[in-house]
Amino acid sequence: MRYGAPMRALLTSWIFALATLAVAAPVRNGPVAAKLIAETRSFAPGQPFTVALRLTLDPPWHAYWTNPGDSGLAPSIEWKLPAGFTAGELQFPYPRAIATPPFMTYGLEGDVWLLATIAPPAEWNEARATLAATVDWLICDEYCVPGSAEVELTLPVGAAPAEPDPVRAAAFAAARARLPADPGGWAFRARRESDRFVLAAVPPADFAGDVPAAEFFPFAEDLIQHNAPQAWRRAGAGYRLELVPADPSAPPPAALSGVLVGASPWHAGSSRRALRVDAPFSDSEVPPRSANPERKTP
Amino acid sequence: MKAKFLLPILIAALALGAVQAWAQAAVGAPAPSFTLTDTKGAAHALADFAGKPVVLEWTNPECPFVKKHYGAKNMQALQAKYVAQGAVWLSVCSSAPGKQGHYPADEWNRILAEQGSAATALLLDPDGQVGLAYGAKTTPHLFVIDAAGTLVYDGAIDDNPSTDSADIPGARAYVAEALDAVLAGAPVPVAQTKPYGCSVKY
Repeated sequence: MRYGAPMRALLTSWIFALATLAVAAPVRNGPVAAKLIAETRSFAPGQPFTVALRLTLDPPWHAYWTNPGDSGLAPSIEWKLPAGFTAGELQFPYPRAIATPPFMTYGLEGDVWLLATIAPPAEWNEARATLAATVDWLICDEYCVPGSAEVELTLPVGAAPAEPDPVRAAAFAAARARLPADPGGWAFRARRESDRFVLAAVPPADFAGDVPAAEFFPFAEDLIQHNAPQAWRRAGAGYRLELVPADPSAPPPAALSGVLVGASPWHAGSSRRALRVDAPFSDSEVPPRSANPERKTP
Repeated sequence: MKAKFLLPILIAALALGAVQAWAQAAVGAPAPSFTLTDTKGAAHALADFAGKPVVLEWTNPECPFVKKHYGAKNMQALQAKYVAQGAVWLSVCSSAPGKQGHYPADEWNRILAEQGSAATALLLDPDGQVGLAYGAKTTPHLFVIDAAGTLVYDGAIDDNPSTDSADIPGARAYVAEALDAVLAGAPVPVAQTKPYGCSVKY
Protein backbone atom coordinates (compact mmCIF):
# COMPACT_ATOMS: atom_id res chain seq x y z
CA MET A 1 0.00 0.00 0.00
CA ARG A 2 1.30 3.42 -0.92
CA TYR A 3 0.45 6.73 0.71
CA GLY A 4 0.99 10.28 -0.51
CA ALA A 5 3.47 12.53 1.24
CA PRO A 6 0.89 14.32 3.44
CA MET A 7 -0.49 10.99 4.60
CA ARG A 8 3.01 9.71 5.35
CA ALA A 9 3.73 12.84 7.35
CA LEU A 10 0.52 12.40 9.30
CA LEU A 11 1.24 8.75 9.98
CA THR A 12 4.77 9.58 11.04
CA SER A 13 3.55 12.19 13.46
CA TRP A 14 0.98 9.75 14.86
CA ILE A 15 3.59 7.09 15.27
CA PHE A 16 5.91 9.54 16.97
CA ALA A 17 3.11 10.71 19.24
CA LEU A 18 2.28 7.12 20.13
CA ALA A 19 5.94 6.36 20.77
CA THR A 20 6.19 9.40 23.03
CA LEU A 21 3.16 8.21 24.96
CA ALA A 22 4.66 4.75 25.21
CA VAL A 23 7.94 5.94 26.68
CA ALA A 24 6.14 8.28 29.06
CA ALA A 25 4.09 5.51 30.60
CA PRO A 26 5.47 4.02 33.79
CA VAL A 27 6.75 0.47 33.62
CA ARG A 28 5.02 -1.61 36.25
CA ASN A 29 6.64 -4.67 37.75
CA GLY A 30 4.61 -6.07 40.64
CA PRO A 31 4.17 -3.50 43.42
CA VAL A 32 6.54 -0.99 41.77
CA ALA A 33 6.00 1.38 38.86
CA ALA A 34 9.17 2.90 37.39
CA LYS A 35 9.41 5.93 35.15
CA LEU A 36 11.99 8.40 33.88
CA ILE A 37 10.82 12.00 33.99
CA ALA A 38 12.68 15.04 32.67
CA GLU A 39 12.43 18.36 34.43
CA THR A 40 12.55 20.16 31.11
CA ARG A 41 10.49 19.68 27.98
CA SER A 42 13.59 19.69 25.85
CA PHE A 43 17.34 19.78 26.27
CA ALA A 44 20.04 22.04 24.92
CA PRO A 45 23.36 20.56 23.78
CA GLY A 46 26.14 21.11 26.32
CA GLN A 47 23.72 22.08 29.10
CA PRO A 48 23.16 19.62 31.93
CA PHE A 49 19.56 18.93 32.90
CA THR A 50 17.82 16.93 35.59
CA VAL A 51 15.84 13.76 35.25
CA ALA A 52 14.03 11.81 37.92
CA LEU A 53 13.82 8.08 38.28
CA ARG A 54 10.38 7.84 39.85
CA LEU A 55 9.62 4.64 41.69
CA THR A 56 6.06 4.38 42.93
CA LEU A 57 5.77 1.67 45.55
CA ASP A 58 2.45 0.19 46.57
CA PRO A 59 2.00 0.06 50.33
CA PRO A 60 3.29 -1.59 52.47
CA TRP A 61 6.46 -2.17 50.45
CA HIS A 62 9.65 -0.21 50.96
CA ALA A 63 12.87 0.11 49.01
CA TYR A 64 16.16 1.14 50.59
CA TRP A 65 18.40 4.14 51.04
CA THR A 66 22.07 4.08 49.95
CA ASN A 67 22.92 2.71 53.39
CA PRO A 68 20.08 0.23 53.80
CA GLY A 69 20.78 -0.34 57.49
CA ASP A 70 20.90 -3.88 58.83
CA SER A 71 19.65 -5.50 55.63
CA GLY A 72 18.38 -4.56 52.19
CA LEU A 73 19.79 -3.00 49.04
CA ALA A 74 19.40 0.42 47.44
CA PRO A 75 17.93 0.72 43.94
CA SER A 76 20.50 0.99 41.18
CA ILE A 77 20.44 2.25 37.63
CA GLU A 78 22.46 1.29 34.61
CA TRP A 79 22.16 4.01 32.02
CA LYS A 80 22.16 3.38 28.30
CA LEU A 81 22.78 6.83 26.94
CA PRO A 82 23.52 8.11 23.46
CA ALA A 83 27.19 8.70 22.66
CA GLY A 84 28.54 11.76 24.42
CA PHE A 85 25.90 11.81 27.17
CA THR A 86 26.90 11.20 30.78
CA ALA A 87 24.79 10.71 33.89
CA GLY A 88 25.62 11.69 37.44
CA GLU A 89 25.01 9.53 40.50
CA LEU A 90 21.45 9.01 41.66
CA GLN A 91 20.60 11.52 44.37
CA PHE A 92 18.56 9.91 47.13
CA PRO A 93 15.96 11.56 49.34
CA TYR A 94 16.46 11.20 53.06
CA PRO A 95 15.18 7.85 54.33
CA ARG A 96 12.79 6.77 57.05
CA ALA A 97 14.03 4.55 59.87
CA ILE A 98 12.02 1.35 59.82
CA ALA A 99 12.33 -0.65 63.02
CA THR A 100 11.69 -4.37 62.82
CA PRO A 101 13.28 -5.49 66.09
CA PRO A 102 15.98 -6.49 66.50
CA PHE A 103 16.77 -4.78 63.20
CA MET A 104 16.72 -1.25 61.89
CA THR A 105 16.61 -0.51 58.19
CA TYR A 106 16.61 2.79 56.31
CA GLY A 107 13.79 2.74 53.81
CA LEU A 108 12.11 4.66 51.02
CA GLU A 109 8.34 4.40 50.71
CA GLY A 110 5.52 5.54 48.47
CA ASP A 111 6.40 8.01 45.73
CA VAL A 112 10.19 7.93 45.51
CA TRP A 113 12.02 10.46 43.30
CA LEU A 114 15.70 9.78 42.67
CA LEU A 115 17.29 12.64 40.76
CA ALA A 116 20.18 12.51 38.33
CA THR A 117 21.97 15.14 36.30
CA ILE A 118 22.34 14.30 32.63
CA ALA A 119 25.09 16.07 30.72
CA PRO A 120 24.52 16.08 26.96
CA PRO A 121 27.39 16.63 24.56
CA ALA A 122 28.11 20.16 23.33
CA GLU A 123 27.14 19.10 19.84
CA TRP A 124 24.09 17.02 19.03
CA ASN A 125 22.95 16.82 15.46
CA GLU A 126 19.73 14.85 15.84
CA ALA A 127 16.26 16.18 16.59
CA ARG A 128 15.91 14.24 19.81
CA ALA A 129 17.72 11.91 22.17
CA THR A 130 16.55 8.83 23.98
CA LEU A 131 17.80 8.14 27.49
CA ALA A 132 17.33 4.51 28.49
CA ALA A 133 18.20 2.65 31.62
CA THR A 134 17.84 -0.63 33.42
CA VAL A 135 16.64 -0.10 36.97
CA ASP A 136 17.06 -2.75 39.65
CA TRP A 137 15.49 -2.62 43.08
CA LEU A 138 14.78 -4.67 46.13
CA ILE A 139 11.54 -4.12 47.98
CA CYS A 140 10.69 -5.67 51.29
CA ASP A 141 7.85 -5.86 53.73
CA GLU A 142 7.50 -9.10 55.67
CA TYR A 143 9.60 -10.57 52.90
CA CYS A 144 11.71 -9.26 50.04
CA VAL A 145 11.22 -9.22 46.28
CA PRO A 146 13.78 -8.00 43.76
CA GLY A 147 12.54 -6.24 40.67
CA SER A 148 13.79 -4.65 37.50
CA ALA A 149 12.47 -2.46 34.73
CA GLU A 150 13.65 -1.07 31.43
CA VAL A 151 12.76 2.60 31.29
CA GLU A 152 13.35 5.24 28.67
CA LEU A 153 12.65 8.83 27.91
CA THR A 154 12.86 10.70 24.63
CA LEU A 155 13.48 14.43 24.67
CA PRO A 156 13.62 16.83 21.73
CA VAL A 157 16.47 19.25 21.30
CA GLY A 158 15.40 22.79 22.08
CA ALA A 159 16.77 26.25 22.48
CA ALA A 160 19.08 27.09 25.39
CA PRO A 161 18.30 27.36 28.17
CA ALA A 162 15.85 24.46 28.22
CA GLU A 163 12.70 25.50 29.99
CA PRO A 164 11.38 23.59 32.97
CA ASP A 165 8.09 21.86 32.32
CA PRO A 166 5.60 23.77 34.49
CA VAL A 167 3.51 20.63 34.91
CA ARG A 168 6.39 19.01 36.76
CA ALA A 169 7.84 21.99 38.59
CA ALA A 170 6.08 21.27 41.88
CA ALA A 171 7.06 17.61 41.85
CA PHE A 172 10.72 18.42 41.18
CA ALA A 173 10.68 21.07 43.89
CA ALA A 174 9.28 18.50 46.32
CA ALA A 175 11.89 15.97 45.26
CA ARG A 176 14.69 18.50 45.82
CA ALA A 177 13.25 19.41 49.22
CA ARG A 178 13.82 15.82 50.31
CA LEU A 179 17.48 15.82 49.31
CA PRO A 180 19.94 16.61 52.10
CA ALA A 181 20.69 20.33 52.11
CA ASP A 182 24.03 22.03 52.67
CA PRO A 183 24.47 22.87 56.37
CA GLY A 184 24.03 26.59 55.66
CA GLY A 185 25.64 27.92 58.82
CA TRP A 186 25.15 24.86 61.03
CA ALA A 187 28.50 23.65 62.35
CA PHE A 188 29.06 19.97 63.10
CA ARG A 189 31.83 18.31 65.04
CA ALA A 190 32.26 14.69 66.04
CA ARG A 191 34.03 13.25 69.02
CA ARG A 192 34.40 10.03 70.87
CA GLU A 193 33.11 9.97 74.42
CA SER A 194 33.79 6.71 76.15
CA ASP A 195 31.80 4.12 74.22
CA ARG A 196 29.75 6.61 72.18
CA PHE A 197 30.12 8.85 69.18
CA VAL A 198 28.85 12.34 69.86
CA LEU A 199 27.78 14.64 67.06
CA ALA A 200 27.72 18.25 68.22
CA ALA A 201 25.51 20.61 66.20
CA VAL A 202 25.76 24.37 66.59
CA PRO A 203 23.14 26.46 64.77
CA PRO A 204 23.91 29.66 62.89
CA ALA A 205 23.77 32.79 65.04
CA ASP A 206 20.46 33.91 63.55
CA PHE A 207 18.69 30.60 64.20
CA ALA A 208 15.78 31.33 66.51
CA GLY A 209 13.95 28.03 66.20
CA ASP A 210 14.22 24.75 68.00
CA VAL A 211 14.83 21.29 66.63
CA PRO A 212 13.10 19.09 69.17
CA ALA A 213 14.30 15.81 67.70
CA ALA A 214 16.71 14.64 65.05
CA GLU A 215 17.93 11.40 63.64
CA PHE A 216 21.26 10.65 61.97
CA PHE A 217 21.59 8.36 58.97
CA PRO A 218 25.24 7.52 58.25
CA PHE A 219 26.37 7.06 54.66
CA ALA A 220 28.68 4.21 55.69
CA GLU A 221 27.08 0.90 56.51
CA ASP A 222 29.56 0.00 59.24
CA LEU A 223 29.68 3.23 61.26
CA ILE A 224 26.97 2.88 63.92
CA GLN A 225 24.65 0.27 65.37
CA HIS A 226 21.59 1.07 63.32
CA ASN A 227 19.19 -0.39 65.88
CA ALA A 228 20.59 1.51 68.87
CA PRO A 229 18.63 4.48 70.24
CA GLN A 230 19.96 7.91 69.26
CA ALA A 231 19.77 10.50 72.03
CA TRP A 232 19.33 14.10 70.78
CA ARG A 233 19.23 16.95 73.25
CA ARG A 234 20.18 20.56 73.76
CA ALA A 235 23.74 21.13 74.91
CA GLY A 236 25.52 24.43 75.29
CA ALA A 237 24.91 26.68 72.31
CA GLY A 238 23.40 23.86 70.27
CA TYR A 239 22.62 20.20 70.38
CA ARG A 240 24.32 16.87 70.80
CA LEU A 241 23.41 13.52 69.38
CA GLU A 242 24.74 10.31 70.87
CA LEU A 243 25.33 7.38 68.59
CA VAL A 244 26.47 3.85 69.37
CA PRO A 245 29.47 2.78 67.27
CA ALA A 246 29.10 -0.39 65.23
CA ASP A 247 32.33 -1.63 66.73
CA PRO A 248 33.03 0.08 70.07
CA SER A 249 36.55 -1.34 70.16
CA ALA A 250 37.57 0.05 66.76
CA PRO A 251 39.23 3.45 66.42
CA PRO A 252 36.81 6.12 65.20
CA PRO A 253 36.70 6.87 61.48
CA ALA A 254 37.88 10.19 60.06
CA ALA A 255 34.42 11.72 60.18
CA LEU A 256 30.76 11.20 60.93
CA SER A 257 29.26 11.58 57.47
CA GLY A 258 25.62 11.22 56.68
CA VAL A 259 22.27 12.91 56.75
CA LEU A 260 20.71 14.54 59.81
CA VAL A 261 16.93 14.61 59.64
CA GLY A 262 15.19 17.03 61.97
CA ALA A 263 11.66 16.97 63.33
CA SER A 264 11.45 20.59 62.19
CA PRO A 265 13.27 22.70 59.58
CA TRP A 266 16.88 23.70 60.10
CA HIS A 267 16.55 27.18 58.66
CA ALA A 268 13.95 29.92 58.95
CA GLY A 269 11.87 30.16 55.81
CA SER A 270 12.88 26.71 54.61
CA SER A 271 11.05 23.43 54.66
CA ARG A 272 14.25 21.38 54.40
CA ARG A 273 14.31 18.69 57.05
CA ALA A 274 17.56 16.96 56.08
CA LEU A 275 21.09 18.36 56.28
CA ARG A 276 24.22 16.83 54.86
CA VAL A 277 26.69 16.27 57.70
CA ASP A 278 30.41 15.72 57.30
CA ALA A 279 31.79 16.16 60.80
CA PRO A 280 35.47 15.43 61.31
CA PHE A 281 36.43 13.85 64.60
CA SER A 282 38.25 16.23 66.92
CA ASP A 283 41.43 14.92 68.48
CA SER A 284 40.80 16.27 71.95
CA GLU A 285 39.69 13.74 74.51
CA VAL A 286 36.72 14.79 76.60
CA PRO A 287 35.60 13.48 79.98
CA PRO A 288 33.72 10.20 79.78
CA ARG A 289 29.98 10.32 79.68
CA SER A 290 29.56 9.32 83.33
CA ALA A 291 31.05 12.71 84.32
CA ASN A 292 28.10 14.44 82.67
CA PRO A 293 25.14 14.63 85.08
CA GLU A 294 22.84 16.03 82.41
CA ARG A 295 22.86 12.94 80.33
CA LYS A 296 19.48 11.30 79.96
CA THR A 297 19.01 7.69 79.27
CA PRO A 298 17.40 7.13 75.89
CA MET B 1 15.37 -18.12 77.07
CA LYS B 2 12.99 -17.20 74.29
CA ALA B 3 14.05 -14.69 71.65
CA LYS B 4 11.24 -12.34 72.59
CA PHE B 5 12.76 -11.98 76.02
CA LEU B 6 16.20 -11.11 74.69
CA LEU B 7 15.24 -7.85 73.07
CA PRO B 8 14.03 -6.04 76.21
CA ILE B 9 17.26 -7.12 77.86
CA LEU B 10 19.20 -5.69 74.95
CA ILE B 11 17.29 -2.42 75.12
CA ALA B 12 17.76 -2.26 78.87
CA ALA B 13 21.46 -2.87 78.44
CA LEU B 14 21.70 -0.04 75.92
CA ALA B 15 19.67 2.28 78.14
CA LEU B 16 22.00 1.60 81.03
CA GLY B 17 24.90 2.56 78.84
CA ALA B 18 26.33 -0.92 79.02
CA VAL B 19 26.91 -0.91 75.31
CA GLN B 20 27.24 -4.33 73.90
CA ALA B 21 26.16 -5.93 70.71
CA TRP B 22 23.07 -8.05 70.93
CA ALA B 23 25.21 -10.85 69.67
CA GLN B 24 27.44 -12.63 72.13
CA ALA B 25 29.52 -13.89 69.26
CA ALA B 26 32.75 -12.01 68.61
CA VAL B 27 35.43 -12.70 66.07
CA GLY B 28 38.52 -13.99 67.84
CA ALA B 29 36.53 -15.30 70.82
CA PRO B 30 35.10 -18.77 71.43
CA ALA B 31 31.96 -19.28 69.32
CA PRO B 32 28.79 -19.43 71.43
CA SER B 33 27.80 -23.00 72.18
CA PHE B 34 24.43 -24.32 71.12
CA THR B 35 22.40 -27.43 70.62
CA LEU B 36 19.79 -27.52 67.87
CA THR B 37 17.73 -30.18 66.17
CA ASP B 38 18.12 -30.78 62.46
CA THR B 39 15.42 -31.53 59.89
CA LYS B 40 15.97 -35.27 60.37
CA GLY B 41 15.32 -35.00 64.09
CA ALA B 42 18.95 -35.36 65.20
CA ALA B 43 20.38 -33.01 67.82
CA HIS B 44 23.69 -31.28 67.08
CA ALA B 45 25.83 -29.45 69.60
CA LEU B 46 28.65 -27.22 68.45
CA ALA B 47 30.90 -29.15 70.85
CA ASP B 48 30.20 -32.33 68.84
CA PHE B 49 32.33 -30.90 66.04
CA ALA B 50 35.40 -29.95 68.07
CA GLY B 51 38.50 -30.46 65.98
CA LYS B 52 36.77 -29.57 62.71
CA PRO B 53 36.10 -26.21 61.10
CA VAL B 54 32.39 -25.39 61.25
CA VAL B 55 30.41 -23.11 58.95
CA LEU B 56 27.09 -21.66 60.08
CA GLU B 57 24.95 -20.42 57.19
CA TRP B 58 21.72 -18.60 58.00
CA THR B 59 19.17 -19.31 55.32
CA ASN B 60 15.63 -18.71 54.09
CA PRO B 61 14.91 -20.35 50.72
CA GLU B 62 12.40 -17.65 49.74
CA CYS B 63 14.85 -14.77 50.16
CA PRO B 64 16.10 -13.41 46.80
CA PHE B 65 19.67 -13.21 48.09
CA VAL B 66 19.54 -16.87 49.12
CA LYS B 67 18.01 -17.74 45.76
CA LYS B 68 20.90 -15.92 44.09
CA HIS B 69 23.42 -18.30 45.63
CA TYR B 70 21.35 -21.49 45.51
CA GLY B 71 19.95 -20.81 42.04
CA ALA B 72 23.49 -20.53 40.70
CA LYS B 73 24.56 -23.58 42.75
CA ASN B 74 27.21 -21.42 44.41
CA MET B 75 26.19 -22.27 47.95
CA GLN B 76 25.91 -25.98 47.20
CA ALA B 77 29.35 -25.94 45.55
CA LEU B 78 30.89 -24.29 48.60
CA GLN B 79 29.16 -26.78 50.89
CA ALA B 80 30.37 -29.76 48.87
CA LYS B 81 33.90 -28.44 48.47
CA TYR B 82 34.54 -27.74 52.13
CA VAL B 83 32.64 -30.71 53.57
CA ALA B 84 34.89 -32.84 51.34
CA GLN B 85 37.88 -31.15 52.95
CA GLY B 86 36.72 -32.03 56.45
CA ALA B 87 34.64 -29.02 57.41
CA VAL B 88 31.15 -29.24 58.92
CA TRP B 89 28.56 -27.07 57.18
CA LEU B 90 25.45 -26.28 59.18
CA SER B 91 22.67 -24.33 57.50
CA VAL B 92 20.49 -22.65 60.11
CA CYS B 93 16.96 -21.32 59.79
CA SER B 94 15.80 -18.88 62.48
CA SER B 95 12.48 -17.98 60.84
CA ALA B 96 9.81 -17.81 63.54
CA PRO B 97 6.58 -19.80 63.19
CA GLY B 98 4.30 -17.98 60.75
CA LYS B 99 7.21 -16.06 59.19
CA GLN B 100 8.75 -16.57 55.78
CA GLY B 101 11.13 -19.53 55.69
CA HIS B 102 9.57 -21.39 58.59
CA TYR B 103 8.64 -24.89 57.49
CA PRO B 104 7.98 -28.23 59.13
CA ALA B 105 10.92 -30.61 58.99
CA ASP B 106 9.54 -32.74 56.16
CA GLU B 107 8.97 -29.70 53.97
CA TRP B 108 12.54 -28.63 54.73
CA ASN B 109 13.82 -32.02 53.64
CA ARG B 110 11.95 -31.67 50.36
CA ILE B 111 13.44 -28.18 49.84
CA LEU B 112 16.96 -29.34 50.70
CA ALA B 113 16.66 -32.19 48.19
CA GLU B 114 15.34 -29.81 45.55
CA GLN B 115 18.18 -27.37 46.19
CA GLY B 116 20.72 -30.15 46.10
CA SER B 117 22.05 -28.88 49.42
CA ALA B 118 25.37 -30.43 50.35
CA ALA B 119 25.31 -29.10 53.90
CA THR B 120 26.02 -31.47 56.77
CA ALA B 121 22.62 -30.59 58.25
CA LEU B 122 20.00 -27.88 58.42
CA LEU B 123 19.36 -26.82 61.99
CA LEU B 124 15.99 -25.47 63.08
CA ASP B 125 16.09 -22.42 65.35
CA PRO B 126 12.45 -21.29 65.37
CA ASP B 127 12.75 -19.32 68.62
CA GLY B 128 15.77 -17.48 67.19
CA GLN B 129 17.90 -18.17 70.24
CA VAL B 130 21.01 -19.20 68.34
CA GLY B 131 20.51 -16.57 65.66
CA LEU B 132 20.38 -13.82 68.27
CA ALA B 133 23.38 -15.24 70.12
CA TYR B 134 25.41 -15.07 66.92
CA GLY B 135 23.91 -11.79 65.79
CA ALA B 136 22.67 -13.31 62.56
CA LYS B 137 21.19 -10.40 60.63
CA THR B 138 20.60 -11.55 57.12
CA THR B 139 20.02 -14.52 54.89
CA PRO B 140 22.58 -15.45 53.94
CA HIS B 141 24.86 -14.57 56.87
CA LEU B 142 27.84 -16.82 57.40
CA PHE B 143 30.10 -17.63 60.32
CA VAL B 144 33.27 -19.70 60.25
CA ILE B 145 34.50 -21.39 63.41
CA ASP B 146 37.95 -22.92 63.43
CA ALA B 147 38.84 -26.38 64.71
CA ALA B 148 39.62 -24.93 68.16
CA GLY B 149 36.12 -23.45 68.44
CA THR B 150 37.13 -19.84 67.83
CA LEU B 151 34.90 -17.66 65.68
CA VAL B 152 37.16 -16.56 62.83
CA TYR B 153 34.75 -15.11 60.28
CA ASP B 154 31.45 -13.24 60.60
CA GLY B 155 29.78 -11.68 57.59
CA ALA B 156 28.80 -11.85 53.97
CA ILE B 157 29.33 -14.73 51.60
CA ASP B 158 31.10 -12.37 49.20
CA ASP B 159 31.57 -8.69 48.48
CA ASN B 160 28.80 -8.10 45.93
CA PRO B 161 25.52 -7.38 47.73
CA SER B 162 23.22 -7.92 44.77
CA THR B 163 20.45 -10.39 44.00
CA ASP B 164 21.92 -11.15 40.58
CA SER B 165 23.66 -14.50 40.28
CA ALA B 166 25.70 -13.12 37.37
CA ASP B 167 27.63 -11.11 39.99
CA ILE B 168 28.94 -14.22 41.77
CA PRO B 169 31.97 -15.08 39.59
CA GLY B 170 33.49 -11.61 39.85
CA ALA B 171 32.92 -11.23 43.59
CA ARG B 172 35.51 -11.67 46.31
CA ALA B 173 34.45 -14.88 48.06
CA TYR B 174 35.05 -14.07 51.72
CA VAL B 175 33.77 -17.36 53.12
CA ALA B 176 35.84 -19.46 50.73
CA GLU B 177 38.90 -17.37 51.63
CA ALA B 178 38.24 -17.84 55.33
CA LEU B 179 37.82 -21.59 54.96
CA ASP B 180 40.91 -21.93 52.78
CA ALA B 181 42.88 -20.07 55.44
CA VAL B 182 41.48 -22.13 58.32
CA LEU B 183 42.16 -25.39 56.51
CA ALA B 184 45.72 -24.24 55.78
CA GLY B 185 46.26 -23.13 59.39
CA ALA B 186 46.68 -19.54 58.23
CA PRO B 187 45.06 -16.35 59.53
CA VAL B 188 41.75 -15.44 57.92
CA PRO B 189 42.44 -12.51 55.54
CA VAL B 190 39.16 -10.66 56.16
CA ALA B 191 37.54 -11.69 59.43
CA GLN B 192 34.49 -9.47 59.53
CA THR B 193 32.29 -7.97 56.83
CA LYS B 194 28.82 -6.56 56.70
CA PRO B 195 26.45 -9.38 55.78
CA TYR B 196 23.97 -8.68 53.02
CA GLY B 197 20.58 -10.11 52.28
CA CYS B 198 17.06 -10.23 53.64
CA SER B 199 16.60 -9.74 57.35
CA VAL B 200 16.39 -12.93 59.39
CA LYS B 201 12.68 -13.43 60.08
CA TYR B 202 12.82 -13.69 63.88
